[in-house]
Amino acid sequence: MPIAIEDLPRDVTKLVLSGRIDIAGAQEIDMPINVVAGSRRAVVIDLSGVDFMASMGLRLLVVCAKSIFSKRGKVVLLSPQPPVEEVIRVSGIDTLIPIHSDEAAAIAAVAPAPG
Amino acid sequence: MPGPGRPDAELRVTSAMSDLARLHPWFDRAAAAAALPAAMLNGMQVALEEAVANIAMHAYPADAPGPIAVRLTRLAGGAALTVEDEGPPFDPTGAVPRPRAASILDAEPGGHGLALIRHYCREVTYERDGRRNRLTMRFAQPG
Repeated sequence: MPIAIEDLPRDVTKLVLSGRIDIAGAQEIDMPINVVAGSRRAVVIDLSGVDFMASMGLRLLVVCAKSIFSKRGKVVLLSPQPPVEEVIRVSGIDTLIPIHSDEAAAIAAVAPAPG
Repeated sequence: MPGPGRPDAELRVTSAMSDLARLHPWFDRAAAAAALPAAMLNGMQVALEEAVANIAMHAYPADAPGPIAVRLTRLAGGAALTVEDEGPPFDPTGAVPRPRAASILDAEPGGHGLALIRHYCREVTYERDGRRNRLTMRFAQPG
């Protein structure tokens, strides 16, 4: 399965995607990604292992982010490879879901304030 | 504008999502057989998925999938992908790009597609041929 879910300190969830998120790949991760989006409020989506993403993958990211934002949660993208980052920027998704290249900064961006 | 000529490879699928999973494996084989340079592959696949996803979501009702034909043609200095459907007439090259959403809650899934296709293609043309929509995307070979 090209998706792994890691629970980090401070109630942050890291969603690690990998491989090709093409039409078939997006279908495969649709259900698990929606379960995470529906139940977590601080999510880092690690894209460093993704070597292809296009419209169906972008669609999945937007649906996932909308679900998290509707609960006043936060989500960021971590370290997409250059071809994937290009697709995200050309489609304007980066203006909605920030891209980080540093994991600590990504976690800090979504983690709930202490106390 | 005339089509790009005799195709090197053709795929016929329906717009059912389970059938569309065949798109990328077909492209991989067709691109290898046509000896397309690796530098062209990512952009062609992004544009192809976008064109086909638009048809699957907008040309046919979700409960009544319709036919989609995809052709790859090797050209001097590049390649062309032609995508045909039998949905209502729709010219995506004439569609007004949707303004960027101000926040994620206003964002629609999809809707950024034409920008992606224009970014990766050298030229995009549309024609209505009888009851078919035909979108032809031409890609330049780098270097």
